[in-house]
Amino acid sequence: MISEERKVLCRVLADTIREASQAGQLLGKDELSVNLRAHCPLGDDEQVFPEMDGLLAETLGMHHDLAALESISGRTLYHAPALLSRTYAAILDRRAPPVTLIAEEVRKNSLEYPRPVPLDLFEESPFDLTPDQIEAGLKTMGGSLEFQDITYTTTNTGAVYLFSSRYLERGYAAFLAERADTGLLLNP
Amino acid sequence: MADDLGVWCNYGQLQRDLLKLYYDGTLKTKIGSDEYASIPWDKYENGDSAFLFEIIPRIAMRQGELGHALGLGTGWLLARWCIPEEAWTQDFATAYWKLGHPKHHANEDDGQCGVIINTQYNRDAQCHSHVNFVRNGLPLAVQKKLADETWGSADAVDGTGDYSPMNIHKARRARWALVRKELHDSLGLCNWMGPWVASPLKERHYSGDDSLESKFFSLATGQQMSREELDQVGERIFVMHRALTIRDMGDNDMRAKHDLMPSWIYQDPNGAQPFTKGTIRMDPQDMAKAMEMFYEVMGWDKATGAPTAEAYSRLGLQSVAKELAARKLLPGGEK
Repeated sequence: MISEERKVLCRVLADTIREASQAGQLLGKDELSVNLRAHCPLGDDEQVFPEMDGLLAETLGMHHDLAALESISGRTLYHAPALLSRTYAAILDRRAPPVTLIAEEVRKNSLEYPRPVPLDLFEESPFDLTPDQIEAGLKTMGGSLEFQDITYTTTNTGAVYLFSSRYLERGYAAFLAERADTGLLLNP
Repeated sequence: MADDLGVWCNYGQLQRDLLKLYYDGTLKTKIGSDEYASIPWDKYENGDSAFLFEIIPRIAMRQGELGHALGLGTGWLLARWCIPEEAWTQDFATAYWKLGHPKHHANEDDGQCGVIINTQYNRDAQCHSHVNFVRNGLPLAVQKKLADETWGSADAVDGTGDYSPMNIHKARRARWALVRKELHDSLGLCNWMGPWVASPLKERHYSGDDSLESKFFSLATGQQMSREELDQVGERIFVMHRALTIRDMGDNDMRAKHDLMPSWIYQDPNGAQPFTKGTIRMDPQDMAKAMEMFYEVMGWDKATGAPTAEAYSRLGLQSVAKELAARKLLPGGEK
C-alpha cells in the first residue's frame, strides 16, 4: 500500500515529467530529485527524503502515461510518450555528440524504412544541429572506422542525402534520394 | 501564371511534351523557321525563367502553330502533327501512358499494382488508394505487417523500386484500391487521404481502420452497411463503368484494346534489369501474369478482361449482362 504522502510525491514527479515532455525535454533521476526537493515539503534532509529509485518506480506504476528510456549514457530518462514519443526521445538522447546522433539516425533510416536522409534534416527540430556541428560530425566520421558505412549520394538538384552502406546499396540509395528530393513533389 | 491563363498541365505532361518536341527536332520542323526563330530558346537553354513569360502566353492565346498545337493537349497534338502515339509510349522520359494522358502513380510508385490501376481507365486513373499506403511513411516491416492483415500476405506490398514478381495478393490489393477509389468518388470522401489502413499511432500497432468508409456511411445515412457490403457497391460502380466502356467501344476485348500499358515501363535509363533494386522497370511476362491475376480476382474473363455474365449477375447487374449479350459483347459471344 502506497502512503498518501508518497502518492503526492509521485504526482509531483509525474507532473514534472509531463511538463518536461511538453517542452521537449527528457529528465533523469538527478533532475527530478532536484525538482522534487524544490516542490515538496520534506526539505533536503537525506534521512527524510524518499529513495528516488523506488519513488520513480511507484510513479510509473501509478501513472501509465509515463515511460522510462534507457539512455545511451546508461542513465534512465523519463518522458510522457503521448507528449514526447519514444522515437523523439531517442533522438534527443543521441543529440550529444552530434556524430553519434547523425550516424545512428542515418543507419536507422537505411535499415528500417529504407531511405536515405537529407543532410539538412539535421538542422531541423528535434536535431537542431548547426551547419558547423554537422560539418564537424561528417569530418569525424570520415576519419573513423566506426562510421565508415556512413556515406552520401547527391541528387540532380545538388541535394546531399546520407545513407548507411551497411543497409542500403549505393544504386538503390541514389534512386530513393532522387525520389525523395523531387520525385514525390512532382508526382502528388 | 499558367493557372491564371488557364493553361493545361496534366502533371507536367505539357512541359514533357515541349521538351521532347524541342530536343528531337520535331518542333523546328512543324512550326516553321520564322516562328521557331521568334522563340527565345537561349533563355530556355540558360535557365532564364523569363522564357516562361514568352512561351506560356503563346499557348494560352493559341498564338502561332506552337501555341495552337501545344494548347490542344497531348492526344490532339499528336494527331495534329501526325506523330504516332508510339513515339510517346516508347519514351521513358515522356511518362505518357495512353489516350492522351500520362501515368499517375503507376510503376514509379507501386510496381504491378500501379500499372494495373493505370490500365483501367481511358483517362488519368486518379487513384490514390494504393499510393497512400506505400507512401504512408511507415517502416517497410510495418507496411508488410499491415499488408498481411489486410490483403492476406506481406508479399502484397514491396519497397518502392525494389519490386518482386507478381503474386495474387498484389492483384487483391489492386482490386481493393480501385473499388475504394470508386467508393470515395461516389461518397464524397477524399481518395487523396484514404483508405485508412494505416495509423500513425504506435498503441494501435500502426493499424488503421479499413472499414471507416462503411462506418461513415452508416453514421451519415442511418443505413447500416458493413465494409464488405459497401465494397460490393464500389465494385458494382466499377463494373458498370467497365460495361459502359465496352458498350461505347463496341468491343469487349478490353485486354488488347483498352487495358494498355506503354512500352517505356519495360525500359530503364541505366539498363537495370526488372526486379533489381533501384529500378521501376517491369517485365512483360510478369505484367501479362499480373493482368490475368487481376482479371481473376475481379471474376472477369482472362482472355478479354471483360466481366462475365456471372460477374454482372453477382453484382445484381443482370440487365446489363442482358443488354451486352444482345450486342454480342459478353465474353464468348461474337461481336
